[in-house]
Amino acid sequence: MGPMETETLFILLFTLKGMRFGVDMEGICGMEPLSETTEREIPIGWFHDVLAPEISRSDYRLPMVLYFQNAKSRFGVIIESPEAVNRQIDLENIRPLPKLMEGMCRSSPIWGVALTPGRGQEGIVLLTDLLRWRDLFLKIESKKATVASPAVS
Amino acid sequence: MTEEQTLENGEAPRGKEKSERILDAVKERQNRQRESEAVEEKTVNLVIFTLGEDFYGFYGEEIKEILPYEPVTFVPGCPDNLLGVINVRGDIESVVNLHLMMGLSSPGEPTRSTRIVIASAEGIRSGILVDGVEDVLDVPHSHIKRPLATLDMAIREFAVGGETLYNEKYVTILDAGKIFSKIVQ
Repeated sequence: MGPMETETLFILLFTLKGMRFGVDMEGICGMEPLSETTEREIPIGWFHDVLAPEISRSDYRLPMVLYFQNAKSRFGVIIESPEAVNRQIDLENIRPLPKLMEGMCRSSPIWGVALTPGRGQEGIVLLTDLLRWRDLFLKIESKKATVASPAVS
Repeated sequence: MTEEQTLENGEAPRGKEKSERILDAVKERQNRQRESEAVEEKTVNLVIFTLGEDFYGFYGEEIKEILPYEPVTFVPGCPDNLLGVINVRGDIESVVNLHLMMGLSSPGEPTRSTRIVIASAEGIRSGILVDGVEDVLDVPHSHIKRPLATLDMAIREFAVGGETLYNEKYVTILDAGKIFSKIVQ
């Protein structure tokens, strides 16, 4: 599809402590309640651990494990129960993060904002890249492992 | 005999006609006004606002809009100097936490006077949360003095180099560009 043609994004939308997040449906291969998951083979992490340490596990009403898979990786991320799946977002309703946040954008999983119907905060969805989220999650986990088992000299 | 009577009688008035005399007087007055305007001092437009108890100003040319407060959407991972983003008629604008940058106590609960001013400087556009906008006015250059030597260093960093008086309160003039540059660093 050429850049001039209209492209759309389909997102899974969930709210966590008043913040609305949207993740691209591409690559999402399943979802189940955290209480019912038996998955032990793949890395699974809490969404907020990477993005928002001010959020705690108790802020989730109904935690769900969202499974992501592509040719290179498979992992799970624990999110709040989604309020919408496959919500269509037209490109004309997507905005980059403001210039003052550009520095943060380079490393953050949040890459833009989708404008949806609703006034003020209700209309703002923070678009989150799950692959960037995974990279940061793995880094954090690796640091934790290093701290837990320091090298013996 | 009065001049009116003369005109009624159809006689030519002596010297200049009344209309000419009036026009001369008007022109003279205009010339005086122009001369006085020429020597009148240049002014700067200032947006006077408050942070806590203190008064500050931005140059009017840097301020694009003054918006009533609306809740700011926090963006995880954004620098502490930023409160988050707002939607301004379809444009996403960041909102600067100027209180924090100036070393002041953090902004409390928003009140009816809380405002978000949209500033543009150094090629960057952003909202800045302030406790209130007091006035927008033109101030003669001579009324802008050098800032107090005792001015807090955190504030001096963003001061343009001037202070003026507004309602007997000192107003420190800030540079939006310096504020934005500090965040981008």
